[in-house]
Amino acid sequence: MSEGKAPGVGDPAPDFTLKTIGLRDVSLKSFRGKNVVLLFYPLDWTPG
Amino acid sequence: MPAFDRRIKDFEAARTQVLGVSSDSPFSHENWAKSVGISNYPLLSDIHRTASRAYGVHWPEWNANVRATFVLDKQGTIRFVERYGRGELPDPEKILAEVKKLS
Repeated sequence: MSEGKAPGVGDPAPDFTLKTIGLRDVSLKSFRGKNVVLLFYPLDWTPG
Repeated sequence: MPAFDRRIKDFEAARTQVLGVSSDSPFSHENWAKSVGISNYPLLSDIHRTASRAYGVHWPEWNANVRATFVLDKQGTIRFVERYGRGELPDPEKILAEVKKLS
């Protein structure tokens, strides 16, 4: 169903910088020192 | 996900940042967040599908991503992964329990 090499438990989390509401940039690495929960969801307006 | 938004204080107490990621634009995110009540954690726009490909969750048929949760520790190492089928949603209680296992 999905494609791409999937990192798993024990692997380093790939960094990214993405825009959020207000077009502000958010970098994953800026949260280093905290735990992070990444919630991938298919599309806005889907359940959840 | 409003279910996570309602529990955000519990995640913060566990020194944990919650981030939502989909391929939608920031403008779509803004409308959806207002509509369903997500205001306590950022929704990120993976419009170029770079994050979904990097995490192996890109869904080619929809050019979107599948539903999946990754828990990262303070060093940026992946410590928990869960993928969901149709109709399945991440459970905030379960994810919170995973976070609390981390130091």
